[in-house]
Amino acid sequence: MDIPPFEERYQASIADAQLRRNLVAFQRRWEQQRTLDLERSDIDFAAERDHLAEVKNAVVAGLPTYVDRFTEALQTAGGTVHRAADAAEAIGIVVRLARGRGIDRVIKSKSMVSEEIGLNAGLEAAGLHVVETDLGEWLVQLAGERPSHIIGPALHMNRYQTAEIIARQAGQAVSGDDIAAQVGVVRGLLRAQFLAGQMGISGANVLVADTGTIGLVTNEGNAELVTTIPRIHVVLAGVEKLVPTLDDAAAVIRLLVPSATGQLVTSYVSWITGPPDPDSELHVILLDNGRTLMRETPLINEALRCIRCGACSNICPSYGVVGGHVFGYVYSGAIGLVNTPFHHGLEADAGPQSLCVQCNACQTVCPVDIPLPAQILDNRARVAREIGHSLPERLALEIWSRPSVFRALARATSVAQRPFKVGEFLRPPRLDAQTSWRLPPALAGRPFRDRAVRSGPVSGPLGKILAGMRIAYFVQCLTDWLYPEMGEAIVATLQALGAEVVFPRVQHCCGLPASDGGEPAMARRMARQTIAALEGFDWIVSGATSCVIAIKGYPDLFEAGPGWHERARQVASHTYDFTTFLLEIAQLPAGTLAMSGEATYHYFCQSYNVLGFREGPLRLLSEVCGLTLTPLPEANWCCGFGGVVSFEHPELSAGILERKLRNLDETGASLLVTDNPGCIMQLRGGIAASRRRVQVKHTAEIVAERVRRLRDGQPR
Amino acid sequence: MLAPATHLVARFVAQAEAVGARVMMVAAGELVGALEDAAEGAHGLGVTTEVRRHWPLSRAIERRGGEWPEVAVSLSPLGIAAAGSVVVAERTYRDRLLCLLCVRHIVILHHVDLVEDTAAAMPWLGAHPEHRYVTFVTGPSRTSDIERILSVGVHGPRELVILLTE
Ligand code: SF4
Ligand code: SF4
Repeated sequence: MDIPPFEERYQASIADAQLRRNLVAFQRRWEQQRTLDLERSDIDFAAERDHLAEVKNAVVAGLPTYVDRFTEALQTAGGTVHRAADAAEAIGIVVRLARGRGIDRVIKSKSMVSEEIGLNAGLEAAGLHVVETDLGEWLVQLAGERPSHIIGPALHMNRYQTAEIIARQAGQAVSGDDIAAQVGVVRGLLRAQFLAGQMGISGANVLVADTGTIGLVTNEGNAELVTTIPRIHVVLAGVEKLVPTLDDAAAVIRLLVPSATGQLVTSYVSWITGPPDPDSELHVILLDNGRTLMRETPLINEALRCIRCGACSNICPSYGVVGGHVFGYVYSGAIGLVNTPFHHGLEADAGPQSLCVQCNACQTVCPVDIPLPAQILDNRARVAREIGHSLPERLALEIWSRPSVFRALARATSVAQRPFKVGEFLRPPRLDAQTSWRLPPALAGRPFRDRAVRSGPVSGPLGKILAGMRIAYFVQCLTDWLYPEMGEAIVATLQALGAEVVFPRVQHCCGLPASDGGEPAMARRMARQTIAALEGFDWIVSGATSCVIAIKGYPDLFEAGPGWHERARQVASHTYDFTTFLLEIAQLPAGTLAMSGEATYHYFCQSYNVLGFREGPLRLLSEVCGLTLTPLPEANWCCGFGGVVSFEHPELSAGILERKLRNLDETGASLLVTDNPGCIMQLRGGIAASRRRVQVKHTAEIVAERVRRLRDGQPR
Repeated sequence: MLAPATHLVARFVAQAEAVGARVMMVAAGELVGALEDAAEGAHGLGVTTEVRRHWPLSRAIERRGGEWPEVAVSLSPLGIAAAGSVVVAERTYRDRLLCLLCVRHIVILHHVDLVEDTAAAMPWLGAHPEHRYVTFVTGPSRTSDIERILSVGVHGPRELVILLTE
């Protein structure tokens, strides 16, 4: 099937408000259901995930052995294994099997691999009649579309859209409101197709090397009909579906089901070991199609653990705005952004990968712990290297990476912006795609680095807590030039707790925009600058959690060993975000700064997904600082800033922000607290542009205000 | 003898009913009568080879109805308590189709054949390679492909009735 160019797909999805409503409703339901089910079940998600990841790692490492074992076992059971190097070979095998038996009617149950190789088109070109039988897949086939989700092919449609398709097919009116009636009509239509099928084609959810067994998971029962009625059953599967034993297969299904459906069991799990009857045939086509290359590519090889559950789409904020036809290619969601270059070429991934905001939510829910965000960055670097960045983008990153050029420009801008400055925002004379939904912040009159910083501890009631400690403060570009008052809040707090705080003036950007932008060499250069600036302190603290995470990732940028890797490790292990530092190092007891107030809290997505923030910041704000917190729905979902992504794809960023602001409206809060300046810029800009009335503050500002009032002896 | 299994029975019944199956407890001697009740009003009824073998009397209630009968009766070798699943492991083409194409699937399960969970069912699977096509069936056929809203009975049976025998 021809897939339209990325830009066309992107624009179409942005214009489709209905699609966005369908997607958000779906993601909500899935997340709530999954959380509930995991709580109710006896599944220990983290432990079972780690176990399954190990099992799959072993298979990927020894793949050829497992392929041989499976082949032998299936042959013993009377089946046949075929190997296909690419799409053409796989299609050729199916066509030959059909022709050799005079078959012209094929029925199929859902198989992403068949989508991957364009099987339907190939079979139809060879004169075969092909019918999809999974309801979603059937709808998509009739609409002449492709699946927008690995598990729910038609979830981009709503009930009225499906009713139209079904009515056309049935030649009768079908109620748009009544989903059950629609399903009933489809049952009748497809029954005849099942009975006329001469060859059944299915995918596989798991292949068992020891026994040659194929595992299939469905709710509808269509896979059972497809693999039972025709006397010849052809299975199409990627080699990554192999596991050693039946017990391992059960472990796959245990995590697959709640991840995929948000339920704990599906209606049917079938185990097929060889042709079931003496006169039936079973063929398994094991497909490579780029998997060997994936296996040989460091980091990307971990994607072969994938069990195709689709959870990485269900939790993805970008997917929630544009859907799987845009966020992906044939495979959608984070995994699609990772494997597309290997199955369908780098060009096919160039657009989709640029939509990832690096929130890391996908890795948090992935049942085999695939480092999807890092892999997406790896592909981003591939795209930058082989297809290239646009010139303005490269130039911007270059300027950003050079401290002296950047500072000179920033100072010049600070003067040039004056006519447009209204309060803390710029109001350009004409609002455009970049500014209509998020007012840009004005540069501060005086950046943090120009403000006098007293470095010594300050005596006072809290002065013993960090006494004797020497702390380096890392400011971050945004805080430095936009929000110097947040920097001052952090320094004042640490000093009031008795620490000596140093601001190493040579510090510049941590390099995060460069690595997010797919420029690892530039990122390394900036990491070296930063490491050199921050060495030799007891602790390094920053209010910019995004940069703290970048710094914690420095060791991965350098080859293991003494030298830069070791220096990076030293710095990384002493670097803390403000919130964690107060909780773990300062260990402020409950009630220390208790003064009343009300707020709601937004987790910076990476704080939640990478640093593992859960109760901590809430405890700091409520128990230590005395705030009454109203829970924010989807508090851990990204705000849509995503660094460079929000400038490259403002519509996407605006869509994610809109969801956040609607959730914020539900709380009725007038104060929103969070702990990353990127989020603050996004949220303040969006709140101002939409004329909402909510203040956004950094956690440090809440703390510092209380520290000051305590010192000044103001009433609580 | 019933005692150790009772918690399995309770768990099985609760889980199976939670996913939309109907569970009936039946004394051994009353099985054929219970089948007659469960098949009341149906257009056609077929029983599998195994059911005929265990309950020769069941042949008497078989009746044709269209190409495939609306009601199918099969015997399950294993039930999974934690999931409320019954294992369907028919060994002939006709029996497999009977269980798939019916509207109401009646499954007989002996309570001693209950195991705790899916992990405990896997050894049975490994030990019975002669069952080449085995399905863990949990509730009726369903789909949530339209707006992720659950509807029952898309391609497979619309009803699953489990006769749990003493
Ligand atoms: S990191 Fe976030 S935006 Fe990127 S693919 Fe994962 S969930 Fe989606
Ligand atoms: S990458 Fe992980 S979350 Fe995404 S489909 Fe694969 S297993 Fe599921």
